[in-house]
Amino acid sequence: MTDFEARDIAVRIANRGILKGVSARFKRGKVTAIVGPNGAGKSTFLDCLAQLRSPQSGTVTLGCKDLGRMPSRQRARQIGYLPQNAEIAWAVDGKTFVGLGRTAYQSAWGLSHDDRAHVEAAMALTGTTDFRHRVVSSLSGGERARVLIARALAGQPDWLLADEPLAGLDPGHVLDVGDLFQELAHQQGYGIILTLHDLAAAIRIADRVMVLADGQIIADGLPLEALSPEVLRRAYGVESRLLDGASGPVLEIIGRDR
Amino acid sequence: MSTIRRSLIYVGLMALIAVLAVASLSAGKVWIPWSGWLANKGDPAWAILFELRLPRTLLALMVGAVLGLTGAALQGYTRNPLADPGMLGVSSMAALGAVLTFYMGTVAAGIWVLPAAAMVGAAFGVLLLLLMAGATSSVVTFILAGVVIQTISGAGVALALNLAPNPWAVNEIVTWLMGSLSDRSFDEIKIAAPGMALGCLLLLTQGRTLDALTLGENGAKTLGVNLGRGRLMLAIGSALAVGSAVAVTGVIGFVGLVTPHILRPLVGARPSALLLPSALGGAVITLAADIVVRLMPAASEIKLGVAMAIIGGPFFLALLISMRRKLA
Repeated sequence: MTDFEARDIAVRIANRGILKGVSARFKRGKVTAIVGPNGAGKSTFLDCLAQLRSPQSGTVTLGCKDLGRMPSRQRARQIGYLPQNAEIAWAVDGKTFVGLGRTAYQSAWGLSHDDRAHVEAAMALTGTTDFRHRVVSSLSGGERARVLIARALAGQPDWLLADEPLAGLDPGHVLDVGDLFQELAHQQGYGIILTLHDLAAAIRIADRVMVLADGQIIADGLPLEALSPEVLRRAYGVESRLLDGASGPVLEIIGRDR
Repeated sequence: MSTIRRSLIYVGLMALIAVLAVASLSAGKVWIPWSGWLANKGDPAWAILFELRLPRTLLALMVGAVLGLTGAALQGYTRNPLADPGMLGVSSMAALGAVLTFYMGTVAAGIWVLPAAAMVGAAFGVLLLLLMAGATSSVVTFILAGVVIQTISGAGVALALNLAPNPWAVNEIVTWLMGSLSDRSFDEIKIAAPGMALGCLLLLTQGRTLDALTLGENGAKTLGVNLGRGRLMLAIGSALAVGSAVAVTGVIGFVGLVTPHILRPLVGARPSALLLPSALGGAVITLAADIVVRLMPAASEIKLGVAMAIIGGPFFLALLISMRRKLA
């Protein structure tokens, strides 16, 4: 059993229920997108999965082991996490930055030969080898997004958790980065869990969509099934329909549900 | 950053230290020629060299290294290139501890009273810091806590001056607060060395944590770094190192701010790579400044702390302006 599982996660912040008993099970080799209106608790849920926040109740397990009790270093080797609006504090080059992904393996003496090999491999896999001597904060949004993913992959995790990884990218880079996520899941076997606000991107990228609204999961399944007109009306208060597009079904948001 | 380039920087800094150390032993109101180095014990030249200038030189190197290293570590932890040992409030709390011994007159009770009080002050500062910012690991809270501690210690020093029993006590406090390396002996070195060494070792072990913080706090946590422990180590390390330094020299500011800045373009921005060079660089800057201060043609010697403030103030301002431009 290598499933990632959350059971009855409840989080209250300042007496407001952010998550009201959320349970979900994730499988490797798939891209799962968590969508939902602003303030629905997507990021909070992802934070609970990554153990950045401990819920008031509920457990998160990875392969039947309680993640909350796992030593943080061991946990870091299994879960790569990409924060929203990733902070890059110093003007470090691509290689140094991706090398940070080896922190959970590194000894006091710096990166080993093995560490360097994994850094190289992660950069090759994400097509970022050219950026090894470029300062990461000076890269364009799409380039930076790939370097951030390389950093997470350098730690050889089984799971990749990303909070709004497509926010702020232009449509071309959304496709590029989306394809990269799909490739990583389908060909390399990573389990990928993303929060997304862009429903069209979710349909295109994800194998499975979970809709979180008001602290609860109101739909979970194949993208087009989960994002049905009833669900979208309930979650976002909008009327929608599916159209046939050139590259597959297209979700049209018709208007506000009045 | 290539290994060759890094080695060159180390060699360069060490060479600078060696040259400056020789200059520091020779320079002053009385110039000691090369022949003085071979003088017999009891000779005035011998006394100046080995009883006055050698301890002063060693202390300048030690204090400079402590301030440079602490500055680099704190800048790494707060991801703020404007952080300085003073920012934690550790320096100022150490100063308050020392000032209280002047105020109460207990300073005369023994040579160990002032250093002990300074270290207690520094430890108290750390304790306050952990009480205020310990529950969260937010950098902003950490910095604000530092500001609060500085305000409290400033008020304490002002109160001690206000209520000082006599003008001599005021004079003594003010002189000490200005920060100086003059008239120090091997006794001061013996007092300060253990705390400095232990503190520096603790700080040097935190390189991995500082690097991971490049990704921000959440990023660092998911890399498997224990931020709570890192913060504790940094707090204890800087309290020991800076407390010991302040105890024997008074407050010397801006070394911790300036040094990492000058070295960052040379060594690269990775916080761990900056630690050791900053220690060496801090030693260079402090010793150079102390030599300049000694050679100033002023009626009374300008205190090192004052000189550093005069240089450091505009530097700080320039830095802030350039950062604002970058942010805007």
